[in-house]
Amino acid sequence: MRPRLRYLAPLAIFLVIAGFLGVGLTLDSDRVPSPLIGKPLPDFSLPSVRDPARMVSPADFRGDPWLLNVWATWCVSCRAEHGVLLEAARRHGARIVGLDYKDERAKAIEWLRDLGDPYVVSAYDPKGRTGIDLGVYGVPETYVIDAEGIIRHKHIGPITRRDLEQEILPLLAELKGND
Amino acid sequence: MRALAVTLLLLGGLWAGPTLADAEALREFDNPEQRARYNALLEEIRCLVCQNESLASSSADLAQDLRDEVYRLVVTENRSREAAIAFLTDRYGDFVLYRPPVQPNTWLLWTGPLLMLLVGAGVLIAVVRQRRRQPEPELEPAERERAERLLRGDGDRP
Repeated sequence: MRPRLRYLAPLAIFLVIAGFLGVGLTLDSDRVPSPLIGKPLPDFSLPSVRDPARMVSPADFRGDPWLLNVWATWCVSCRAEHGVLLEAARRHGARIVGLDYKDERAKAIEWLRDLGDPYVVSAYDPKGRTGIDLGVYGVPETYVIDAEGIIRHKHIGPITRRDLEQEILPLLAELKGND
Repeated sequence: MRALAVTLLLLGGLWAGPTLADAEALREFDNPEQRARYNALLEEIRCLVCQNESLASSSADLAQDLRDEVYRLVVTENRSREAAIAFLTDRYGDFVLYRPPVQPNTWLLWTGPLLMLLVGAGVLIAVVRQRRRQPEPELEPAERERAERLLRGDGDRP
């Protein structure tokens, strides 16, 4: 090994390690990419939160893009997200379907009454069985679904106003434009 | 009598209520192979809530649901290990597996340690070869004389 190379080798090794670690810093291991993106939303048929006699299925919402928002009254960040969802529904006309995950019906109804209801309808999944089919692991989670029922995007964690304006609404508009 | 009371009190402190192991011990299986398949799967699958724990060790709510799900797949539906793993990766992705599958995006992960070993071996060989090529350093006459004296066992005094 020539002397100059000998001094450069540790520097090169350092740069390689620093490169890997640097990329590692930009990754968020809490956000597990969903294998369901680009695939049809798994089918389910669940009673509505407000009316146990009414059944809710993904097929009911075909024809226009929509959001499926997984929420629960025990979920603290759902409360933080709630105002943004109300704004999305009321000001921007987003169609949001709720999936009330591992919750109690009475509490859920109370929550919707007290905080406002941004949802077209909320499906009631007390056991979390549909949640497993959707790959839900941290509530809140929001799926963007196109007019054909294909999952186009999954947002993990609460939607902030910034997420809504820069990510969710533009995607909904784009999906609507494709029709 | 008092010693017994104290002992019982101390032992009572060790009792920490029903544990994960108790809940799992109540599971019923058709045969030992099924139990082994179930337990092996729990060790292999990551809990997505607390990502450094397997389903076997996690007490998160979702881990309990997924254990029930694995039990349903393995016992109620008697599905194979591969089918149960496919069920979970279809929903949660390869990330749920502690042992990632060998596929193009994991080649570096799987071969990395071997590559590092080869690089290390290469450097070692290069260094040894280079050392061998270097000539032996010449000794001054006085040094040579001293070395010979030492080898004869005459001590280190002139």
